[in-house]
Parts: sequence; C-alpha cells; structure tokens
Amino acid sequence: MIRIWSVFSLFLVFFGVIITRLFYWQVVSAEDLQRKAASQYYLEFTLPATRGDIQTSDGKPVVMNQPAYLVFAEPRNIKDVRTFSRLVAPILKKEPADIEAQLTIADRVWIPLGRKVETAVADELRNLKLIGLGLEKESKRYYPESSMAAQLMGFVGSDENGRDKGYFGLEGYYDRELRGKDGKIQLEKDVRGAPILVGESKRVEPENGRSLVLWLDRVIQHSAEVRLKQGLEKYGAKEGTVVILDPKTGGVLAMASYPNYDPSAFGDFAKELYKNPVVAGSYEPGSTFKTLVMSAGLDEKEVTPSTIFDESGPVPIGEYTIRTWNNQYHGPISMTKVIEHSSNVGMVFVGKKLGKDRLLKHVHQFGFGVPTDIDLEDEASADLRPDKEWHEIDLATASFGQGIAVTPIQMARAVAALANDGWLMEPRVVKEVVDAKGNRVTIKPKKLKQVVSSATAHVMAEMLVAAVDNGEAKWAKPKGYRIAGKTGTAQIPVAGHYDDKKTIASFVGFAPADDPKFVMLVTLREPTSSPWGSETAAPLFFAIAKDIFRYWGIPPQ
Amino acid sequence: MKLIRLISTLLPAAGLVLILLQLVVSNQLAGAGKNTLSLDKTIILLQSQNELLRQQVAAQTSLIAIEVKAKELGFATSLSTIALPPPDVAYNRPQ
Repeated sequence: MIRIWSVFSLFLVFFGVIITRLFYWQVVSAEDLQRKAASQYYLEFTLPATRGDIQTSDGKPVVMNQPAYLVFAEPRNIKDVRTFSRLVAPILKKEPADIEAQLTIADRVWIPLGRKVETAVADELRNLKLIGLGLEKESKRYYPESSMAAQLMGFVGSDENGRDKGYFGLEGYYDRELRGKDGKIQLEKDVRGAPILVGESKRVEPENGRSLVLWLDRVIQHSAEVRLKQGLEKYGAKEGTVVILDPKTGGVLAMASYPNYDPSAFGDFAKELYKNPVVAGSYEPGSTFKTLVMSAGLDEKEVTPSTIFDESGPVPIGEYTIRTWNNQYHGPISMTKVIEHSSNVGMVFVGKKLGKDRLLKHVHQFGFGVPTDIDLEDEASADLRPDKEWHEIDLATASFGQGIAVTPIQMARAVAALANDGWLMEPRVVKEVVDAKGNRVTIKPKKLKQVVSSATAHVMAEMLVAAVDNGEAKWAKPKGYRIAGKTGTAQIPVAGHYDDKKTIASFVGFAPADDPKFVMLVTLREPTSSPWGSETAAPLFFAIAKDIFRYWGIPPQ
Repeated sequence: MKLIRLISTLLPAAGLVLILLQLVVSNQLAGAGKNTLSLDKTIILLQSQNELLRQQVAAQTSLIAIEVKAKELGFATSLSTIALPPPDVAYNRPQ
C-alpha cells in the first residue's frame, strides 16, 4: 500500500510541476511570447506622415520638408568597431572615439549615430557599404527663403519622446494641423523576411499634415526685412520691427523683426530671440497713440478738426507739468494742427474733454489690454491698470501715448480700423489650410466691432494726411502720394523714471489714404543717430511704402 | 436523369479544378511578396527623389536666389519711377 501511495504522490508532484510550468508559459508569459512570435512572423513598419508646408500668398513655400535620415548602428553586426568608427566619424563630423565608446556599451542592439542627416551625407555613408550601419528615412525642415520671417514661422524641435514638435509662431500654433498622423503596415513574412501577400495584413494609411497658405506677401516681406536691416544700421538702433496689415481683412502682409535667428539652426541662437516682439513685446507708443485719442474725441463729438485750442504754454496736472516735445507753443491752433505739431498739451485738452470713462472706453474698444487672438503661439498682451486706478496724470500722459503699454500688433490693428471705416478686424496670418488631398479651407476674415463711425475714420484719415504733408516727417514723404500717418517718439521707462536719452521711435500709417491697401507700423528701439521718429522710423516707413507702391503699381494720387 | 448525372460528374471536377487553381495562385502570390517589397522600396525611393527635386526647385526660385542671379545678370534696383498721367482720349473699350 505504502509503495502504491508513494508512486501516486510522485506522479502528483510530477503533474503539478508540469501544470505549473504550463500555467507560466500559457498565462504569465503569454503576452511576451505572442510579441516575440509576432516579431518572427510579422513584418511591421511605420508609414511616416509628412509635415505640412507653409506657403506665402503666391503659393511659394517658405517652410517645407527635405529628405533626411536617422543614422543608426547595430553593434552586434559590426565586426571591427574601430574601423567602423574611423570611417563613419568624419562623415558625421564626430570624433571616432565618441562613436567607438557608444558602440562598445554592453547589451546595446541599436544605437542612433545621427538625426536629420541630409541626403548628400546619407549617400556618402551608404557608399561605405558597412555592415551594421543603417539609415531610416525621416523628414527635416527646409527654409528656401533662409531666415525670412523666422519669428513668425517658429521652428520644429523635438518633444520629450523625440518626435517632431513645432515651437513658437505658426509651427507652434498650428502644430497639430501640420504634424499629421503616422500610419503603419503589418504583414505576415516568410523565412527570408519577404511579405506573404495571401497572409494576414493590416494597413493604416498615414494622414499627412495639412499645409498653410498665408496672407504674407513674399516680396513685401523681403522689402520690409531688407529695409529694416538697413534702417537699424543707418540709425544705430538696437532692435526694430515692421508689421504690415491689409486693413480690410486683417491679413498680415509682412511681419519683420531684428535681430532674428535662423530657424534651421535655432539651437545656435539665444532663446530670447525666439519670441516674436511684434506680438509679444510691449512698448509705450508715444505720439502714434494720439491718432486713437483724437479719433475718440471726434467720435464722441467733443472736438472737430477745426476746434481751437490755445497752445499758450505748459499745462500743470497736479504736481506735474506737461510740455510739448520741443517746448514750442503756437497759440490758438486747430485739432488738425495739434496732430501736425504733435502737441502733447493739445492732446491733454482732448483727453480732458473726453473724461476718464470715455477715454478708457475707447482704449478698451480699440483692443488694448487684451490679446488680439492672432494665430501665433507666443502672443502676449501688456495689462492695462484697472480703470479705478487711473488718476488725472495717467489720463493726461495716456492721451499722448506715455504711461500705457501696447504691443506692435495691437497698435497696428487699432490704426487699421481707421483705414477700414472704423471696423476693427481680427489679425490673421493664415488665409487657407490645405489638406494632403488638396482640399482647401478658407479662413474668413473676422470683423470684430465698429470702434468709431465711418465718418470719424475718414475725418481722422484726412487729419493724418495733413500730419504727413505738413508735419516733421514731410521731408521724407514720397511725392504725389496721399499717405495718412503719425510719428511717435516715446521715452523708455527705466527703473521707475524715463530715460531722456533712450527712445522708441515709431511711425504708423496707411496708404493710399482714400482707399487704403496697407497699414504699416515701424518701431526702432534706441536709435542713436537721432531719437526722433520723424528722422528715423518715418523715412524707413516711406522707403518700404515706396517699394509697395512700385510692386503693386499704385500710381501717385 | 442524364442531366443530373452530368451535373453530378461535372461538379466535383469543377471543384477539383478550382482547388488546384487556388493552390497555384496562392503559391505564386506567396512568392510574389519579394517583388512587392521591391516595388514598395522603389516607391519610397522615388518619393524621396521627388521631395529632393521639390526642395531644389524651391531653392532655385527663392527670392534670395533670384536676387543673386539678377545681380549677376546686371539688373539694378530702379531708383525712380515715372507715373504716366491718364491719356486725354476716350477709349472705346469692348464690354
């Protein structure tokens, strides 16, 4: 009996072990084994999605893709690591010792040696015919116009998983549309690795990224950048921006800033340059702001172009004294002359006529203090102090554009309303989105609100034409053209007070005055040849305007 | 009766023929995977070449390239423009 029970127990133990082992292989390790089996008899490869292009309004790409490769090594297939490293390193512009060190790390089966390697370099590597060296296709951004509109475009870097991701500008804002979605193929394969057509297969097609067609005009952008760079050198300015809008649609025809960077080598430039100062940099607008305060006064019927103000001397506001920019006083002058002479004391008169509530109402209506919602990633808006914190001196200084911070895009858009019958538009960079099949979606211009009446806008335009024809910048104006515009020279606040040597010189305007085709704002930070907008920003504005007139065939009026 | 006999003879023969045909076709398709892989690789290569050509066209038609070429050919920036006034005649323009 004992023998029978012993043998029975032995069989029990034996079967117990088998069942445990079976449980381990069929339940615990099931997923792992299925994966290993699939890698043996399934061929799987990713169908990468192509990132969309960015094109200017004439359909020319300003950002596109070029073929590139990921270079990798499979150490287990490399017989002579030293020779391999010696041959590959100079082509990849690396040290042989660095590559050798990577290849000799234990248990590594796949090592990336270079990313986004261009075709010429990849061909050189291919010609080496080295076993253990592989190339995998990937995409790389290419900029046919070099660094044109770099801050507007943004750049493509990597996310935390090493996948392409857009940062700043359009690449950042429209990253999801541009990126698309990778596809994949999974096929049963035979022992030689070739697909078996009658076997199981799964295919998911890639969805290539959508392309963007911009309002940007390549020629006007080029002109703005060339002239801005010349202007910075001529006037000794530290930084500068130019923004040009279509007043009827809000479309951005050009947006230039210096200094800028090369998006194909963004890592070589300071991070501060990535932000677009046109949409993210705030400044005090100075006398250009008078256009908006005066239009508010006209719209509220507190003043007309012929209302007389006695510019007899400085105006005291509490413990402060407001003077004109050149300390000259012309006696009784009309509102048109207030704008022509850029009279600070005249504008304080208009501001007082409006009163705090109506002045601030118009400041808010023109879109200051909040972002414009332009389709760029890095927009920021300077805050306006709360209405109840505005004191008499603040209203006085705001009436001539000091003590209030704006961004260039806010300023340009506000003046564009005066060129558009008083209608404020939402600024847009992208005009159309095109999918991989060529289907186009047009983004319609967005009219936001009428900030002043059409009559006010036209009257203000005439006052600005008079300012250009008779003001400090009349010497630079192109002959025969009716251009509406205003100079601005704002002192820069430094540590709680204004530095009288450092200014932001600007000029804002639109042309032709009777049927405006463009609105432009030029800003120059700390010009050293002269601090005045009339001697720096204004001639730069007119130089670009002349280029636009010639390009569009706009004759003198 | 004859018809039924004919059908009962032909059906298995047809079935056998179809089975043999499927074997032959499957066998051929099974081996054609290598060709398919080769064609796929050719497609990828041609797409890559197209992308490269597109890049080269964009580079040649960029404003920078045109500016350089224009300077080489002796083009200069015009310094002044003359605007012609509208003529003093009335044109009979076709509608």
